[in-house]
Amino acid sequence: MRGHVPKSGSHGRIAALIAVCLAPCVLAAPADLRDWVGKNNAGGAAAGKNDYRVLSPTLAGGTFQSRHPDAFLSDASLSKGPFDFWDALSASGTITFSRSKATLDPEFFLGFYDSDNPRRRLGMGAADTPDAKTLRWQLQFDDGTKTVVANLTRGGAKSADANIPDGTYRFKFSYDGAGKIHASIGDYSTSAATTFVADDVFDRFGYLQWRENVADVFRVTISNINYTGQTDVEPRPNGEQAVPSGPIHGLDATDSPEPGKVAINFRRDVFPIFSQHCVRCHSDDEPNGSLKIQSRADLVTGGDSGPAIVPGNSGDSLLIQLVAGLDADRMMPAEGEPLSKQQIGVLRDWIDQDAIWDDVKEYRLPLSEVQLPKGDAHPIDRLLAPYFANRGVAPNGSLSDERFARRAALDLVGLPLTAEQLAEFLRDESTNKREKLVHRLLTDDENYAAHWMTFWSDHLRIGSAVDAGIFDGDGTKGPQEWLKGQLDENVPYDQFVRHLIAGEFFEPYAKSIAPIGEVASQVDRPEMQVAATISQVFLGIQLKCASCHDSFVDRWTMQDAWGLASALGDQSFDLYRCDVDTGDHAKPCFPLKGLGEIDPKNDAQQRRRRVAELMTHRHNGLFVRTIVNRLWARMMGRGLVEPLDEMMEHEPWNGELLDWLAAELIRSDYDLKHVLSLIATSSAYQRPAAARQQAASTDAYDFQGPEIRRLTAEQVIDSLALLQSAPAEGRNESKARAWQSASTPLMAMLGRPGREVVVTTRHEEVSTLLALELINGQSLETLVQQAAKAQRAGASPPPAPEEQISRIYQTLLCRDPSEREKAIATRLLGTTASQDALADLIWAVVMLPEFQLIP
Amino acid sequence: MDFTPAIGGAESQPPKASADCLVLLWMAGGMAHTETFDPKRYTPFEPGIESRRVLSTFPAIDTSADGIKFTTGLEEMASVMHEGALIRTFTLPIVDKIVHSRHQYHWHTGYLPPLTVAAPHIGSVIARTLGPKDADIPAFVDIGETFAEAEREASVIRTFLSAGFLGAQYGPFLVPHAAAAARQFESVAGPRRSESRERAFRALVEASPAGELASSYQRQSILSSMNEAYRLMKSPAAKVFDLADEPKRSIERYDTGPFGQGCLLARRLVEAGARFIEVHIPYKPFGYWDTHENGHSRTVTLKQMIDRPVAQLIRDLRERGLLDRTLVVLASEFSRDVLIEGKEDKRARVGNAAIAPVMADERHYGMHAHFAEAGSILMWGGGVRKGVAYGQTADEHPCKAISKPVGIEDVHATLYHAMGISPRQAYDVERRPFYVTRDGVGKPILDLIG
Repeated sequence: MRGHVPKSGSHGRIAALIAVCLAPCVLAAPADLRDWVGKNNAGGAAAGKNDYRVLSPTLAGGTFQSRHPDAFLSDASLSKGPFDFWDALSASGTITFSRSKATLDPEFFLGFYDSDNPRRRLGMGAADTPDAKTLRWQLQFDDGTKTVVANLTRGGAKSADANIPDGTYRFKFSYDGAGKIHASIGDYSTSAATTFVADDVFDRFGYLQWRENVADVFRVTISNINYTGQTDVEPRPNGEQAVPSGPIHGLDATDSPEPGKVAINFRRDVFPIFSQHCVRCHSDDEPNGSLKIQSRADLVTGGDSGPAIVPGNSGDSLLIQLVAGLDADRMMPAEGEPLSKQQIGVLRDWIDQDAIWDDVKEYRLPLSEVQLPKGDAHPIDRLLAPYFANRGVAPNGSLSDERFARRAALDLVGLPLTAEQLAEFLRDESTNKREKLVHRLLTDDENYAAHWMTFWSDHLRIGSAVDAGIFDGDGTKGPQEWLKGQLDENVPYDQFVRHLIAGEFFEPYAKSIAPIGEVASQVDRPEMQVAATISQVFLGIQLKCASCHDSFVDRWTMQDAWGLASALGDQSFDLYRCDVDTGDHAKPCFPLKGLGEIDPKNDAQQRRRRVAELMTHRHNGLFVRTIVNRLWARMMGRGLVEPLDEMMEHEPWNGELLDWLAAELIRSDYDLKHVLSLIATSSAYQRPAAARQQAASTDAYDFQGPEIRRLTAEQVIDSLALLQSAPAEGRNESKARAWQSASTPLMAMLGRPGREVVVTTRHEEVSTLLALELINGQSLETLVQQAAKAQRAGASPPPAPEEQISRIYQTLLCRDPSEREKAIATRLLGTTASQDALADLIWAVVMLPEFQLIP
Repeated sequence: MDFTPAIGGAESQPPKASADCLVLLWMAGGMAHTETFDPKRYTPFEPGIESRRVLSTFPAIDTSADGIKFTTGLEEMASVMHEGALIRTFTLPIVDKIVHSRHQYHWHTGYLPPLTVAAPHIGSVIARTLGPKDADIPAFVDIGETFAEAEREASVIRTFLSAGFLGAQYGPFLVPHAAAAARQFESVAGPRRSESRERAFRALVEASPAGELASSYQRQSILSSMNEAYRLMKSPAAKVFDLADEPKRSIERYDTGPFGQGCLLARRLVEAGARFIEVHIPYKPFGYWDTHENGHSRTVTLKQMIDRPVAQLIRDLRERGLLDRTLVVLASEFSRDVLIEGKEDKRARVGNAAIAPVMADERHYGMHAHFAEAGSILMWGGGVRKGVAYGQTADEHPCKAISKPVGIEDVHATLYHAMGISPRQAYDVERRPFYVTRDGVGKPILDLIG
């Protein structure tokens, strides 16, 4: 529907139109292209063939890059804003096109369209692909039923071919409104003023591509477009809005669906609607209609048409009027499907409930100076004393030595003490025996490194090629060796991070976590994978949402995400919003502002070094807070801030403790073992275990002591492996640890992740399927048989059943069996304690919650 | 306890279910559509024939459905086609390197890796959304993927045969060998030891000082999972997994090897109330459907593996009155196109693919190249329209989709629709919705269902 003379005879029409224009006319919204987009135009004789779409309506310039067929809808949304242009009669500009190979067959069309009938078009088409790097250009006119074509030829000659190589060309297209057309691209043009009888004016400029021809990357850039022509409406100053402001007269929002009258959760209910339907056009620098939908303020302020929402009054909110289609010409979303009644109801409820938008919090980056309360107690306990006092929690209560030994050993080196080590610890009568044990465990470099391999492999996706297989296999061994070396030597944490980001290891690492094969989407680029990984792991922030669109759930923008990716790699990235080029480039930057800039002129290595500097910068309190929070969570079951990967979005339950621990990390020259030692020697860590609390974030959490945790897959297997060394041998240091082996169904069920994504907290749920595997699976049976066999080996005659029982209990549970337990076990073992019977006993102990959990 | 709450909202209102059980028959490796369910002009082999002329290496046969033809070797399945529907135009977003691992992952999760979260298998989504149909039968049973043959790609299979972020409780109950499934309900330790160690376990739990664990839900869930596992093992339902229970005649009908046995087990599980069952032709690089050479002769063998048991599964379900509420789907990660791969007298390897203009050797006869621009999916029962085909493929090389291309999102939306799950059903992960079809865009093909 257009606000001018309906099409009828078109010849000589221009004069009449000019007359119409003399009277200012209130402009109805242009019949926008929503009807053209995403609609399969197949039908009639051409069924299945004319499945084309207008990809870039009234594009003022920009880049279009097609990817794969299902990117159509998003490609179609590419726009730098509506062009104030009607009934244009000529257009000129620059076009660049290139293809990666001949088989792509990228037919497309550049020209004018009739907004009433998208199949009527007039312009230049690239009609076929005679060879790898050229397109055959033709002038085309399609009246909706047939296409008339004429080759463009060099200098307009009659017979020269129209095959134009990949490259950049000026193009010009003009139509005299009476049937005569001239088109040129580079020095190719129509032979003379070609006449087509077109009985109406085509009023949109854009380009269009055949569906089946966008099978692969085919790049077209159109820029510097100029339009001239006559219009039947009052010209608008460039950039002014195309729609009148204010409420829509004569329409009543009560026509829109009623609100559903339910309590709205912004993130759950509203965010997905904006994300799916609105953000593609309404975000960033040049949003359509100057309306951004990225904060409550954006909507309240509104765009060209005034406020988009009136909080508390959905009926008066323009947003609702438009999505409800009260004005058919301004219906939103402009592209794709209209919102459902339910969705509109959700938006109405949300607005009526004051349009609460979960805004981002201010975040103070530098560490606060923390004054340690005076006293003799452990510093952590001094910092916690007011917390406990406020909550009336008695700060006393401690674990038995046995329980402490098991907890500390599993937490620090991933293994329980051997029966012999346990006995030695229990015999020790010194007052600082627990400190000594912690020290001993942390100086057991081999087992410390083996245990923390699991932690860092989960975080950094080391070994993803082995465990997930969709990543590059060549890079696997290198990353594991590198990580093991870092842990063996307890490299200071800041150095470790700098080395990962800016060392010679960067490239094999990036390769190892990027997918095999060509990237399907820019987000898969190794640089982005690394950017998302290091920002999540080292800063506790999530850039991955922002790698596709400015994040709704926190503060990050695409510029932040791709700025970091650009800083890490060899190229500056174009910004693609959900796979659609926005026309903007990412400028290399560090997501946390205020620490320093990254000079885009530097080479990749220098930029990576700069990223590493900013990451580990003394003023970057987030860097140290994030890792001490992770270590606290590992030891205590929950972080000082939760979730661990949303450090900036939630308050710690004890900010002083967090900043003090973070400062301790720096004071110790970034020694992670120092932080672990501080935690393990505190009374807080030595409190009895607390049941897991269900609170999702720190706000509703009460610290009472370490939460009960389940053993990891690696801890289960490594604990069993301890029994595999014969009693006489003590700990067999050469035994392979579980992190070294590829995952098994047993390990996967016990929670070892595939490492196709960063995992900072493992699933700890148990299930019937896991129980069936534990009861019936071959993997565990093999392990318990090996352990049983070892119990009997090396001594002749084998140790007495009672001795064996004690050893099994001491090794797996870090305690002696009670008389009752001994009796049960003895009954199972019988007099001979056969290997099978021993295996059964070991199995039964492994099944105990007391074994599977760390209380 | 679920850490992944479902996200409600009216727009993910479930459709009315037409099926309550889904059986996926998985042709891992890439099954050529022109060699199976979408025949084109038949060209018999003769030395020196032009490669591009070869569209099908099998003659076409009629099926029991009007207008649908299969190729020879699929006569049994052809005889039940009037009960089912055929999608001819399953197409994939083409990435330069089409690889089995990524595309199997893609088919099974609806998402192309890598992802920012671990995507769940469709069986896990169904298990999570609908729960078990019968409390005694695991909701999601996976049959026939042994991992043993996938070599270094085994881990990928494991990655998508998983519940991902939904948590292991929604993962598959893995039955690597259908014929040995019953043994998975028996302790590997044998009945005598199993009994004595269970007794010991229970006694030791009683004797063990519970301490702070006493009231913890973690202890409770370990113990209740163990109890549940023992209950299942002893329940009559466990007998369902025992193919030895099946009459000899029935075993003979199905038994074309592990896949056929898997179909038989699937039938028993459908009867007993499983929610989602997948039966695999296993994935083996250059094995089974991964026909990089000798495509014709290997396809003859593969058809022998699937034709009889699949048809029998359909007939049995119908006879038992179960087909109406059971959706059976046969699919593969992508299709194949004619191509001679590998240099002369060298084993085919990805990377040295080359189109040879003529076929000198019978080894070259068949469909060898990965092809993603069309592929066949069969569906029976569960509300699927009967005897219809959807979409058209070109009759000349390359035989790609020329109308109604269907992406995985729409395939999944169709399956979910039948199961009564909205394609916009979402789960909350990392504070954002994860939709069961990619970004919630899947649209059910209503021409095929309902």
